[in-house]
Amino acid sequence: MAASGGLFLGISYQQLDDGDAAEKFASSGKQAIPFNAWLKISTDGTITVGIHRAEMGQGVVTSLASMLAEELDADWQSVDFEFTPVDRDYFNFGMMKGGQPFGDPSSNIGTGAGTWLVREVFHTMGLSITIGSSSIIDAWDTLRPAGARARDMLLSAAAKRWGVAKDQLKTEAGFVINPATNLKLSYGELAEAAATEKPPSKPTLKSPADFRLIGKNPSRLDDIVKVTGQASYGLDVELPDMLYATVVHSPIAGSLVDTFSSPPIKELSGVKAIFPVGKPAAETAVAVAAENSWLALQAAKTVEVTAKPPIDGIRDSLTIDYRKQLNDPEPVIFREDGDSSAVLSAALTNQHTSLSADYQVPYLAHVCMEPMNATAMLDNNQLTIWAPTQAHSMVRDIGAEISGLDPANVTVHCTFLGGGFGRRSELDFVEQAVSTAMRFSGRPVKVFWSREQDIQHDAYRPLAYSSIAGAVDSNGAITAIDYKLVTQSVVASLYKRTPNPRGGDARKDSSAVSAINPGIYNIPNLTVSFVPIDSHIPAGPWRSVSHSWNGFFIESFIDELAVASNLSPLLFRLNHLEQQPRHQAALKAVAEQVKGVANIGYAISESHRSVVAHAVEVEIINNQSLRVKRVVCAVDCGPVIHPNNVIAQVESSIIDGLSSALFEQITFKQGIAEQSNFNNYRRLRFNETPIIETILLDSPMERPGGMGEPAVPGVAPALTNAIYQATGIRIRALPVLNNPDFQPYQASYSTAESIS
Amino acid sequence: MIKFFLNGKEVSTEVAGDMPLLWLLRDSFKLTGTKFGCGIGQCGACTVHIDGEAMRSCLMPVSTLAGRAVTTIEGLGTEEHLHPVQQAWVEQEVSQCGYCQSGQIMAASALLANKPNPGEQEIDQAMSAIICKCGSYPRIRKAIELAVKAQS
Repeated sequence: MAASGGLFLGISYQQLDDGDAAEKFASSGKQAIPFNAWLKISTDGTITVGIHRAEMGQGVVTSLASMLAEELDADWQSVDFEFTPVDRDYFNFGMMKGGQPFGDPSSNIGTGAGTWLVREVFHTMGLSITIGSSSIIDAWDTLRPAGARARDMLLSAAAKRWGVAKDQLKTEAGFVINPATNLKLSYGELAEAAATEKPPSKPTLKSPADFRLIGKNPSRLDDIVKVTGQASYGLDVELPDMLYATVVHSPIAGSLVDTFSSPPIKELSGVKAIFPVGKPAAETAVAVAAENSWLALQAAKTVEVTAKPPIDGIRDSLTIDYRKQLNDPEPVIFREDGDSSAVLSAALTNQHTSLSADYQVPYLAHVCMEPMNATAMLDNNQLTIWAPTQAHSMVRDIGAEISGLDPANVTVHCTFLGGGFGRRSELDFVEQAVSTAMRFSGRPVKVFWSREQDIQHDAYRPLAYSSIAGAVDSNGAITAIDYKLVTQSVVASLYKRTPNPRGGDARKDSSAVSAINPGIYNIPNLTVSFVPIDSHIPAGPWRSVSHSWNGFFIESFIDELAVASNLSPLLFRLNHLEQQPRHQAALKAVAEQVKGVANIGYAISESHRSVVAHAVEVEIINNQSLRVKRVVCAVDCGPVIHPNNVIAQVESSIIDGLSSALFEQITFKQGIAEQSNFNNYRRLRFNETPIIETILLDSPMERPGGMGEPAVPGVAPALTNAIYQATGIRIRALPVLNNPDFQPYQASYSTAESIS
Repeated sequence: MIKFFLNGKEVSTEVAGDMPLLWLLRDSFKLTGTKFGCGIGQCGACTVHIDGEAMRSCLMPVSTLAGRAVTTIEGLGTEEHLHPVQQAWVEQEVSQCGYCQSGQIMAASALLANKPNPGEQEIDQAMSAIICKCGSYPRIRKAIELAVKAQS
């Protein structure tokens, strides 16, 4: 891993790939002296960092800016930010390096030249998106060199001004200093001259020992605007002469509009028009455009929409018997190490412990606190879109596709996101805004969804079902695991919804079995098979994507194997992680913190280059109800860019993971989601939150991993493993409180308040 | 026409009386700091102060506002003069996506205005009304404790 990291570093130093993007960034937003696609410096010394990724709470505004400012040697007090325009030069190569969804090119191709080629293809595609916990991974190789290059240019300008050699000078907190004379020039004073200097092709990067910002928690740049209500989310876009439109979707999940009816427009106060929206001839909803949001929402209640029936029939949640699908004669085999079936059938005669178990997780909604929305205006063959999006370049592309304009005539303004979690990598709300804007040429239109529409028309974390068999020999070593998975392919489902769909092949979606393929444990005989199922219900990336189900399945099963073998689940894991020092260290760190405490469940997982261990402590109150008392989490994400942000993401992931494992599910009746708002889609609340402790481990890894998602997958299995320790009940289907096996505890959850 | 006080100034509106305050604030007065989250009083993102009490603006018809005093996040404090609760929020770095934080801060500031030294249960009761999908709850608790200390 270290070697491949070196390859990446070598390549990226030479290439900043910031041609067009640098020009676009220079001419948008604040006018200041441009240096590259991420940096403008004002004569007063203000450093404006361009943020090319979505800020949805993970703190990229601060962490990305700090990576550039570190190498620029800027004064953090003078650092400001703005969201950049969309350009292919802002392509995200980090998602390749994160290993999702396509696998790490360095491991697939194995050579630096291969990686370079993949990178060039990526640049040409220009996919600028914020997914897969990849922002930090990507920025490590772009924003640091961007800052270092500009620093070098500032040094060159100062050297010329003073008539001294560049290498005699140093920088410090926004100044170039000549140690011989003690003279100094501010970056603001130098900016104009420095911008004309030739940037070095290989800038020198700081040694980690010299970091003043990376790893040091510089203050969040978006804090003040968020506590004063000034931060502008998509829903807050206000433009002169704007119309407000809300949508009523075709009721069946993922279906298209067939017919619709409403009272005559003239009977609906303030309503301008009611019409189908979405891609032409594939409209997903009916929009109600009005003079204000409230009038649109009121009128929308009078609109009736009928659905075109899905081609392959309507699904209830379990119309398909997932268990039976396991008998598919041709499952996709993603891994076949040794001969698991022979070893498993011999287990009985060998008097080895053997076990098989089935697990299930439900559909989940994203419930971003800001309901889906986008604003668009078509004026004089120019399309402008304001969107809270994770799919920056795809917003431009879908805008061009629907309007028929050249992508060059489409401008995208990215706003703050009121949550993302994968939901905002979808384009449905953008398609609706663009088609609405085409109807009201010259007028901006904000298209927004009610909460009901948001929950009932999500691209859901798919229902997933797994059947696992395994054996443990008399030495307590796993001899074989046969892992079978049935679910929808998120990648294939997504492909149907991207611009110019190419039809992703579900049978090639190896990301469906992440967490077990390759997996972290030493398992000599391992078979991993996948039966993809198709459904009209859209499956989308939901925070940690396939790790969210595979993490639950495998970490539950490992726990069961340990228990069946009369071994400690903790030691059993450690014994099978002998070649994984990072994983061992993380597990040991949480175990140390909960030493001697009863009712602990463990889990260990790795995703997006980060390793995370969880220990969950539960309590049964009055022999009646469950309470999660404490969660301890140890994280090894390589070099930590912003420790406070990482801790915040861990807290966030634990609360998200607990909420979904305990309460959440979307069920479908006649293809229609049965949940619609927070009264029937329960989220964990303030008083239900356990104590959370986060341990950041010092890691020898030289490259950072992502942290937006990796602390999610271990939460559910650590919780159910803890419930087993406390009650002897093994929860194999989520959510916990809906599981009939949990009925002895009246399926209730105790708040902190009720036990105090 | 309905007259009421908005962030200390008398204002008037002629919108339909059944329009919830949330949409009057956002669409008419362009005070977009108050957020739309659920529309049924479940999530608390739209929380404002009405006569000093934390109330959900998505369920509050404009017709009920005559003569009352409404404070929104924009009226609580500014960048130059942050309210002690906002200050504590910044110090604890509570905000993640930030969308629910106006509601959280309005709920916390109403609590502290009425109960300068609230007990744990009172904090729980006031703050459990507002959903944060990002899970900023542990930091909200710390920020409230900090604001209590700062005020005393």
